[in-house]
Amino acid sequence: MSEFSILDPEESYCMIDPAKMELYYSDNEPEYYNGPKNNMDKLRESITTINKSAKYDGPPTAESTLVNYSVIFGAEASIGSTASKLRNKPELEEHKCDSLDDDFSEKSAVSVPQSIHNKGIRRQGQDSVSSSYETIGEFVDISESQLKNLPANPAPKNALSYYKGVIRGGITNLNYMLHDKGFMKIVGVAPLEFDDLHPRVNLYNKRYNYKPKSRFLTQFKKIIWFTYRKNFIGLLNRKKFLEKEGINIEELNKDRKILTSDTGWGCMIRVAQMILARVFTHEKETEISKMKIHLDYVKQSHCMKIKDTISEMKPDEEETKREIIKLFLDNGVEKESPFGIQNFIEHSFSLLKKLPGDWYGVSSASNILQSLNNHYKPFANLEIIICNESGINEKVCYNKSMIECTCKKSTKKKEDEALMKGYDFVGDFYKDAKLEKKNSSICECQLFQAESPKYDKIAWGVKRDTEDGDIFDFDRKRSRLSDNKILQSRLWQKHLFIIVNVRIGFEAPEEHYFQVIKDLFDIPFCVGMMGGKKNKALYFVGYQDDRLLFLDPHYEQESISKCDFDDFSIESYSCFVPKTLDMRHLDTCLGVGFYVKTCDEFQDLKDKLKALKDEHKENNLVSIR
Amino acid sequence: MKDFKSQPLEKRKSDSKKVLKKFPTKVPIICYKDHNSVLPSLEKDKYLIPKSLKVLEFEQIIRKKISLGEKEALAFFVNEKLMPKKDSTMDEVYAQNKDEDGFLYIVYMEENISG
Repeated sequence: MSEFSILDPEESYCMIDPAKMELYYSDNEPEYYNGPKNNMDKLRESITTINKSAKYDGPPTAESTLVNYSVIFGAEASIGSTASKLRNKPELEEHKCDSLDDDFSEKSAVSVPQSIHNKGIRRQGQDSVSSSYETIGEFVDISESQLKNLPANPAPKNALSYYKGVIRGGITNLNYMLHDKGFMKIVGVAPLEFDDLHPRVNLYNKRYNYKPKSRFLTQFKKIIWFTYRKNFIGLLNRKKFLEKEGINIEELNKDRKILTSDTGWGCMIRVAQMILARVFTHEKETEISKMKIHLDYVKQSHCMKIKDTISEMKPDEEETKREIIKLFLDNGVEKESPFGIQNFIEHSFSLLKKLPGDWYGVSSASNILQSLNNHYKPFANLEIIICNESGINEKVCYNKSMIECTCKKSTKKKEDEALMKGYDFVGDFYKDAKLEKKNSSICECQLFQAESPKYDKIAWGVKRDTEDGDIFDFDRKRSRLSDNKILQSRLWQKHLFIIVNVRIGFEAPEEHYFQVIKDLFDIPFCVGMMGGKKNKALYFVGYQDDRLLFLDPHYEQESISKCDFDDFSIESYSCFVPKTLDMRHLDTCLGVGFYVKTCDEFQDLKDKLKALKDEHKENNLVSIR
Repeated sequence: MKDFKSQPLEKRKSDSKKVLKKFPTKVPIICYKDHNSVLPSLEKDKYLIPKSLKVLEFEQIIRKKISLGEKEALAFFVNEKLMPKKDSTMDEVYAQNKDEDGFLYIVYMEENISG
């Protein structure tokens, strides 16, 4: 039973004592802890209640105790939107519905006999159980129907592993919620304090004031939150994939249990998904703003009076969020949800020979993201670049995103420059220029000498006279106008998501890096950091004083079943309680993410990183070479 | 590394002195992987490194020696602290961090994992 000490005993956590089969709370309190104190009475009370309700009249056996705990946690895990569904429909049936899909081999991951699943254990003092549960909130709700008789036969082996899974998830969530409610502390972690004493917080590169609090919270809730999920389709078990890879299914499955939940091991995968989802959010915004530019263009150039409602239309934020989440859904069809856990695990198996249940680090997880992105390309222009501890390699970035080109100006005389004013570009303008990309076709375009007020530099820009109204993005430094007619340059074509793996210490983080980490968040192109505290991956999105703001994937939720894909609730993908981590408890590995769309932005990022280097000298973290 | 350090201090001291005298442009380094690391070990752990070599170049040499891909994270430590920045020379690192026996001890390891 030792596998129940899955949670770090050095921290103050609720755990199950494997010998006694009892929940207990360990309360060693490190000196440097400065978060909220435990509400010991409440905590003890709730743990005693759970222990009490797991006891039963008959002689205690490990199996019956397991079943009892899992009934409790099974109910506990069904808070929120999935609660009612779960109660009416046993999880098992839902699972069967999933595995009917042709895509998956038929071997069902969990096969718990219905007779046992539905039987609970009679306990003493039922009334006191339900009433005291109310004191710790809505999260445990034991209904009468769940308190039935003891199972007649001992549960079979696979049923036990199923129950163990439920308990593992239950403890994870219990820890999460006891912490949320302030009953329990987790070393280094505290809910965000946002008041007179701590008036400011930085989310990405934006600073928010606690008056009004809501402005920050609205933005925080917009961030897509991925957590552990359970009851998804068994991992590494899709016929199509196994056949393609030439894997002998029987041999592969000989010594393993097919996992249908990532609780206890998938946190880095979830963190990787979160940072990529952030990048996708930016991609969507870019798409929308391009559409706007195009509409403006059509309006101006054709002197059309398009109704303002079109040019000022705001896309439905919820819908955009749902579209992004869809790309990450577990259980999804391979191509529609390329970043779901099934795909992730399969790519990781092919690439790194990792099996479901293996842990990931920042760079292994980001390598899988890159491989998935190269394979499925949900956004045609997005390219992921991974840099190791030696910093961002400028050349690699340019090679990935730039293409040599020449542009011939037409002999036609200059057009009215007023046309371009809508785009923040002013200067000479030629209508029928031709752009020739290296190894690519010639395209008709409009060429103008442009000025970008933001950077106060003169540049060459080209506008293609096509439907999508793209603005071409030249590398100014490389632009040469050879004979007044031909422009030679490099064209920036990609949006880059750059992940830089850095190390901030041997076992503990070195304190002189704290300021640099905060400064990195202030760079407008930063999309957050993948990292964590010891053994636990977290997605960092901002900071307050010497604490980092994060989204925590260590919370188990029901996976979205395939039947509900068209109309699932996105509520479970928003985190409502912002938490912070004392930087002294940071894990020493960090993956810093940057997202740049244009040549100018990349130049700007380089400038900002160089400025950081000048400021922090040898303590600098992300270098550029 | 244990094997090396288990030699008497006096012997190590005289070894390093000898080497430094014989190769004035190089520094003696002992490089090995952390005992918890799952990375491949180096075939040899004693190295003579040109003083002018940059930290970055040294790291790339080791990376090659243990055949680790560019994308995988690799971290170096001296005296349980991060290796100084990439553009310092090995001579500088040596001068600041050498052991009392006259050798510079460098440990490498992979990234941390979490679940």
